[in-house]
Amino acid sequence: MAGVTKAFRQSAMARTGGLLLALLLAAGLAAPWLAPHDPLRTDLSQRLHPPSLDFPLGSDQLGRCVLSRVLFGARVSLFASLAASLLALGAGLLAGLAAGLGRPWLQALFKAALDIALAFPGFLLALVLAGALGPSLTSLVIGIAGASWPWWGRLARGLTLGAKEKEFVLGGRVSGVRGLRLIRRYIMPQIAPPILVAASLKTAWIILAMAGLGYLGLGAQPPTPEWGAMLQESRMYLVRAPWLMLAPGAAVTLSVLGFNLLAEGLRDAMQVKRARSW
Amino acid sequence: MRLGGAVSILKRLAYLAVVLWGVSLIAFGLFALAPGDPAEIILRDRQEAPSRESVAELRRELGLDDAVPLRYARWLGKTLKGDLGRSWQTGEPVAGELLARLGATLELALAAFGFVVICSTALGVVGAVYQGRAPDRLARAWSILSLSLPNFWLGLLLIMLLALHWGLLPLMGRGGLNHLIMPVLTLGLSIAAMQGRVLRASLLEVLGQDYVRFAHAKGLSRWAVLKRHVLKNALPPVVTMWGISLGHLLGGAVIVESIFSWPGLGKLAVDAILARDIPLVQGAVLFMALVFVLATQLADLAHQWLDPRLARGQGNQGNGRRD
Repeated sequence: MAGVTKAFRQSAMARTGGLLLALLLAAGLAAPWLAPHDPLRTDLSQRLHPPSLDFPLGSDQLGRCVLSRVLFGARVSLFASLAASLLALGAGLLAGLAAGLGRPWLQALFKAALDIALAFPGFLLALVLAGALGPSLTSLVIGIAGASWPWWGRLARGLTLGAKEKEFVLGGRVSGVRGLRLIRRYIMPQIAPPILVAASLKTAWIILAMAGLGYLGLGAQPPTPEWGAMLQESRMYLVRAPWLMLAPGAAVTLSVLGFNLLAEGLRDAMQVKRARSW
Repeated sequence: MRLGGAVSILKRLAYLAVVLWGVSLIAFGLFALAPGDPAEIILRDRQEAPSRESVAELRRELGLDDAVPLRYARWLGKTLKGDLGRSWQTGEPVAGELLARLGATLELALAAFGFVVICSTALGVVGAVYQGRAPDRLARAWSILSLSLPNFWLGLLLIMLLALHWGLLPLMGRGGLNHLIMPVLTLGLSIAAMQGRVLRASLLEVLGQDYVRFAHAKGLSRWAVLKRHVLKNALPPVVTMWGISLGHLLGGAVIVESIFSWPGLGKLAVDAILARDIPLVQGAVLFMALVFVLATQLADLAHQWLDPRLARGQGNQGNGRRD
C-alpha cells in the first residue's frame, strides 16, 4: 500500500486518474440528488430536445433526460464493472496461486485449466457466456468475470513462480513456513504491485467490454439506463440528436481513461514491467 | 539435439490437443446446459406454435432426451468429421455459413493488421528514440487516449462525421477500399497504441545494452545502429503480440463488424447468439478459438525462432509473455 501512496505523490497521471474515478463514482452514488429528472420517466411531448437549461444534456427519443440517465447509468455500468472485476480477481488470484504453489498434480491441473480458458479471445468468451445465460445485467457480470479470471490466473501464476524462487522465500520454506502464512508474508508483498497495476488495466478493459456487450444488447435490458445500451439506442438519431451518442460515450471513455491513467501512474511509481490488458 | 526438438514438438502437439479438447467441452457445455428448450426455439424459428407433441417429437429427433455425456460424444464425433450440424434459423450446414463469412473477416483482419504493424512501429520507434522528450510524451498521451476510446463509440463518431455529416465514406457494408477505412481505423487504433508501447519498452531495453553503446562508439550513425542492431533484437516480444492480435482479428471483430454491418464471422456470431441458434454459435466459437489458439502457438514459435535463448531455457522469466 505504501507504493500506492507514493504513486499518488509522484505521478500526476495517477492523481488525475484517481480524481477522475473518484468524481465518477461520487456522481454515481449521488445520482438521486444530482439528477434533475427521473431517469425512467418518459414524456413524448419532450422528445429529442437539444441540450437546454431544463435538459442539460438533451432528451432522448422517449423524452427522458439524458443527463439523469448518464448519472444513474454510472451506478449500473461502474458498479457492475467493479463487481465483475473483483470476482475475476479473486478467482484468478486463487487459481494462479494454486497453479504456482500447489502440489505438482494441482499445478498441472490448474495450468491446463488456465490454458483452456485462455484459448478463447476474452471478449468472445464473455459474449458467449453472457449469451448462454440470457440477456441480463447479472449474466453480463458473470460472463465478464468468467472470461477475465484466467487472465489474472496466468499473471498470478507467472508472478508466483518467479517469487517463490527468490532466496529469502526458499529460506522461509526451509525453516518451515507453509500455506497461508507463506503466501501472506513472502509471496503477496512481491506480487502485489504488478497485480495492482494489472487490476487497474483490467478494470478498464472490463468497463469497455461491459459497455460493448451492452451495446450488442446483452446486458441490462431497457429501460435500465446503461451506457452501452444507451449508445445502441442512439444509433438511429446520429444526425438528428447527436447528444444522445456523445454523453454516454464520453462517460465510458472518461471511466476507462481514469483506470488507464491510474495504471500508468502506478506502473511508473512502482516500476512494474508492462502488462497487457488482454 | 534433433531428438529433443522432435520431443518438444510432440509435447506441444499433445498439449494443443488437450487445450482443444477443453475448448470443445466449453463450446458444447455452454449451450447444452443453457436455459431454454432448443426444440421450442427451433419451432418458433420455423414460425410454428410449439405444441407439446411437436416439441416432444423434435426432442426425440435431435436426441435431446439422451444423457449429456452421450450427446457430447455424438456431437464431438460429428464435429471431428467436419460436420458442424445445421443452423436452426436457415437450415443450412453451419460449416458452409462459416466459410461464406470467412472472406469478409479475412479482408478486414488483414487490412487492420497491416495498419497495426505500420502504426505501432512508428509509435514505438518515435517513443524510444525521443525517450522522455516531447514526441515521446505526445506518443504516450496518444496511446493512452486511443486505448481509452471504446471502439463502438469511435465507430459511431466516425460514422456520424465521415459518413453522415460530410458524406465522404460509405455508411456501412462491404465493398471497395472506401468501405474498409472506418472499420480498420476503429479496429486498429487501440491495438496499434498498445503494441506501440510494447515495442517502445522492448527498444529501450535493447538500447541500454553494451553492444549498442559499442556500436555508437565505433561511429555508426543513430539510424544505422537502430536498423542494424536494435530493431532486430527488440522485435521478438512485439512479433508475439502481433501474432496474438492477428489471432484476435481473424476470429472476427465482433463489435466493429456489428457497427459497420460488415458481413463477417463476428457479426455472424453475435446474431447467432442473440437468436440462440446454438449449432451456429458452437461452430463459430470453435472456429474462432481454433484460429486464436493456432495464431498464439505460431507466435510463440516465431518468438522462439527469433530469440533462441528462449528455446533453451524453459523459464518464464525474461520472455515477452510474462503476463
